[in-house]
Amino acid sequence: MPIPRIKLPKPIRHTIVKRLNCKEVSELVSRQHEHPLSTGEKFWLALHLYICTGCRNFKNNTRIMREALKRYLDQGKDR
Amino acid sequence: MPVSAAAAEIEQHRAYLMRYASLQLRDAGAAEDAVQDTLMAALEGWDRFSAQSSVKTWLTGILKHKIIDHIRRQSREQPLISGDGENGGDEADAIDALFLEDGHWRHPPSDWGNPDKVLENKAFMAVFEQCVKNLPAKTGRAFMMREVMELSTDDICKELGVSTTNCWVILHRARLSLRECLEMKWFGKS
Repeated sequence: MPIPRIKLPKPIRHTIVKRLNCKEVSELVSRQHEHPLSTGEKFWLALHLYICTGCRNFKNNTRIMREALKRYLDQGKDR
Repeated sequence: MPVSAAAAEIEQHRAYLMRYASLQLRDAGAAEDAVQDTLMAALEGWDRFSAQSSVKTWLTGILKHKIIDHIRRQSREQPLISGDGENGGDEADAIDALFLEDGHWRHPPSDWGNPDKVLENKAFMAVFEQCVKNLPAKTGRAFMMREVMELSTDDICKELGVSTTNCWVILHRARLSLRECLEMKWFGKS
């Protein structure tokens, strides 16, 4: 994920660079299953996921849970 | 196709429909009723079935309506016990409990490895079923509406009578709780 390298004056940097914490990130990851995120949200999410293993795992875990439900419903086939 | 052949064809999908209805209604009796109604309706409407979709998809469509009918009837007669996320308070608390004050994971999610391998495992599926059933009533209902019935968040909010934001909170909580349960009962052990 390329990170834009724009040097901003300090006060602006502080307002724009709102780093998300893991709780907020898990919320975005979940909401992404329901509704497309805004460009800004996508950007900060990607940035956080790039550096955070726990949140990356959470994202994969939610995909596996979705798949598990589908398999659970279809499990009769192999019985 | 003669009626007896249609009945046999429809009957093949009973187990699938039962799992579908049970996940959503969390009540074996109600699920049985919904499936029975579906099979009856399918048999009566068999000549209207166009081969454009599979029999299973067609039956699932009928079942969805029966399930929604049941949920509506039930929420009129006996609304889900509140305190269970009526104003999102409980849901928010349940989410907060999984994080430290600074928003870090209390127990960071682990890597679950190759999904194909674990999803083939029958013992895992049994644990999964248990964890799904452990979700609180309203949380579980919302999550199944989203993931099994694939309703839009708007429709789920309407059925549950909550705001969109609240709906997202409920679904967020559902994913976190289900994940936590699977981590504890399955992935944490290996």
